[in-house]
Amino acid sequence: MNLTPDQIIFWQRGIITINATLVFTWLIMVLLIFGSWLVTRKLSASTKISKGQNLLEVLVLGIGNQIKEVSQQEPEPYTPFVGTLFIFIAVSNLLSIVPGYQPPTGSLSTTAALAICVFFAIPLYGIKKQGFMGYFKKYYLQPTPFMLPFNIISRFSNTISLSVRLFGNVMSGTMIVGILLSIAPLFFPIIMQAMGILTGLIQAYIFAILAMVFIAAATQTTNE
Amino acid sequence: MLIDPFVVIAQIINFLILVALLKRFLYKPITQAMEARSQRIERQLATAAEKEKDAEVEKELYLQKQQELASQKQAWLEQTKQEVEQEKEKLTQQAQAEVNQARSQWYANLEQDRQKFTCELRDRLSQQVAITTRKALSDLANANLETQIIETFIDRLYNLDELQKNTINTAPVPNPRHIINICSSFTIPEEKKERVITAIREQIAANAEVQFEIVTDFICGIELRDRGYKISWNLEHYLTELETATAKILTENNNQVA
Repeated sequence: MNLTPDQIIFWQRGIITINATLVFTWLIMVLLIFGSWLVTRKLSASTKISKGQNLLEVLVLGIGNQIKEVSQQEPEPYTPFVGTLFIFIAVSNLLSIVPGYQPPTGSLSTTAALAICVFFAIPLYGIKKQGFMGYFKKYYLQPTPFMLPFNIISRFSNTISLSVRLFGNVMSGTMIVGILLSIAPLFFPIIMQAMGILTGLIQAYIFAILAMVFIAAATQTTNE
Repeated sequence: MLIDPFVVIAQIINFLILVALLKRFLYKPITQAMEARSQRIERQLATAAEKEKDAEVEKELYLQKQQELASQKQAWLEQTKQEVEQEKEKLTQQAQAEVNQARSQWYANLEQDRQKFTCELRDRLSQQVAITTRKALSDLANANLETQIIETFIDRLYNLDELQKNTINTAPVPNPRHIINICSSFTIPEEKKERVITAIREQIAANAEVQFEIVTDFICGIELRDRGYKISWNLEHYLTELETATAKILTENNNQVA
């Protein structure tokens, strides 16, 4: 049993490795982009819209509302980043019910990559919103400059916790299914798969919301 | 090792590409579509509000026109009613006038018929009375009626009272010859003529010249005319009285029938 899809390698030359993580990530990317293109090429501004458009509108609107609720700010600047995090992780986890599929989020490399993106997005949004010094003073030198090391550790630990939480949950789900298959091959795996779908969605929601909370913390200081 | 640096970098790049592409193909178009719909709905609402406003104005206008029409209708109805009343009055008066005229005409015709009938009746009655009287007198007295009439006339001449005689004698004589006319409905025998002349000369005028004349207008009788005075015995008088009485009876009958 593979602990992570990174271990399924399709092609390798030097450090360049094409493994299941990358392949399934590309698959998901193609799926999402093609699906979005398919729906949005014929968008309608009237009150009669297609089911696909309706689905995407509900999705985008729901993400926007969640962002607004968490950040108390207009969601437009954050929707592409946070929304993509949610959609990517959610689709990645939901597809785990497909036989032979390995969720890229089950790879610590993927979750680390996403956490690193969040790690860099926080200061980017913060600096964009209130300037470098303003961000640095209010985010790293609070409540006193002596807290700077702890604040830095806090930022890193946030990133690590984000990545490990997602990896652990997805990986554990896959592991539990694997273990149960060996113990009770009938029925139980199905229930666990259903649980996996729920867990996957919750994890996607938690990851995106936490990312938004961190970004909001970095951008809200100005408002306060 | 659980973390592959190449995979991490590749996944970061993948994720950033995915963010860019989803922003291009998902968020932007969907947001724009929703924005466009929102604007369109706002426009439609604004248009609807404007139309509602217009409709309110139209409604007010319509109600106003309806009220005007209702008042006009009332006025027209009143006017028409008055015209109809006037026309009715006019026609009623016209019909009344026509009826009155027809009734007057009918009454006139009736009166004419009545008079005609009365005249006819009177004539016939007179003739019948004359015939009957003549027959009765001739049957009763064994003398003809004309003789009786002449005798009665001569008696009257002899029986004139003083007042009558004076009145006639004091009247002026219209011509120098003093002709007295005796008109009768029949021929007077010579013997009777002598007696009449004698009676006249004794009672009225001694020098008078007496002329005898037969008048067809008389039914039966004899009449003397001198200086505006008249002495006569004529069945006409009786017949006139009879006619008057008959006419009175007929009138009373007519009134009772009416």
